[in-house]
Amino acid sequence: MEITTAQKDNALLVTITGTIDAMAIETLSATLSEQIRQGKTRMVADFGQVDYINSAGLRALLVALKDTQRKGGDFRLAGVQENVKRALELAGFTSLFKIFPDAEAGVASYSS
Amino acid sequence: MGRTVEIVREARMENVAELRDFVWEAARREGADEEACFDLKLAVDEACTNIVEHGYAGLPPGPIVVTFQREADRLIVTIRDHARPFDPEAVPPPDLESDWPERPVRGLGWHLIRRTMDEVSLASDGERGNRLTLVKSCNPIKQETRSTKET
Repeated sequence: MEITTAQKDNALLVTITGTIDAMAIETLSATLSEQIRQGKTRMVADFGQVDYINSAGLRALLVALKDTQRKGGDFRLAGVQENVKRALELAGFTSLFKIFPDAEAGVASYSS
Repeated sequence: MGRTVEIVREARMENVAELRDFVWEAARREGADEEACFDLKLAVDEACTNIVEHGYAGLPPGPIVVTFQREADRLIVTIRDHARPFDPEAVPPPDLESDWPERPVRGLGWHLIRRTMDEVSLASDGERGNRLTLVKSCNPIKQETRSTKET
């Protein structure tokens, strides 16, 4: 898994590439919590290049959602692929997260 | 009865990807649809991650043995280990309804196994260790590989 962050308008765009499993969690969680610590609480995670996620990854997303919302922000998802979407549905997460078709729409959602 | 394929790896987190991909590829070879392949991969991942994280916690990692077999339209995976036995009854049922502040962050793995598989059974004894059996029904499934390879 690779992860990069970039400020886009009113949101921090978090671009994740590859597989989000137990091996990736430390990097993912550390990156997200550091950004939140720095006050970047309006996030969009671009999942366009994420091919797989397991419960460890789902937990990290839930923690990010809780941490951003507690600080008045949000953790939104964009470009979610079919397999990842199924995992989100199985976990009952589709009602928790705002999900956008692509990163651009996710970023724009903070401007309206 | 279909062919059985098997993989054995030490119970380390870095080996879990190989175990789940082994089952995913075996299911694909048998012609299972995309969703069934993904479900098996996820269930095997959750089970093996659990064995590494909890079963062998504080112990030297032993082997995890994963076998895959097709019986008619049933894809059957068994996962064997000699770690601490896992008690699924001790896992609280997941909360899939509440809003984010109340949503617990633990207990998802076993829930995903139950949600994705048609049958789940777990047997443990001191000598033979733990044996988790996962069954995914899969319909339709292609027949030609079977007839050509078994004759």
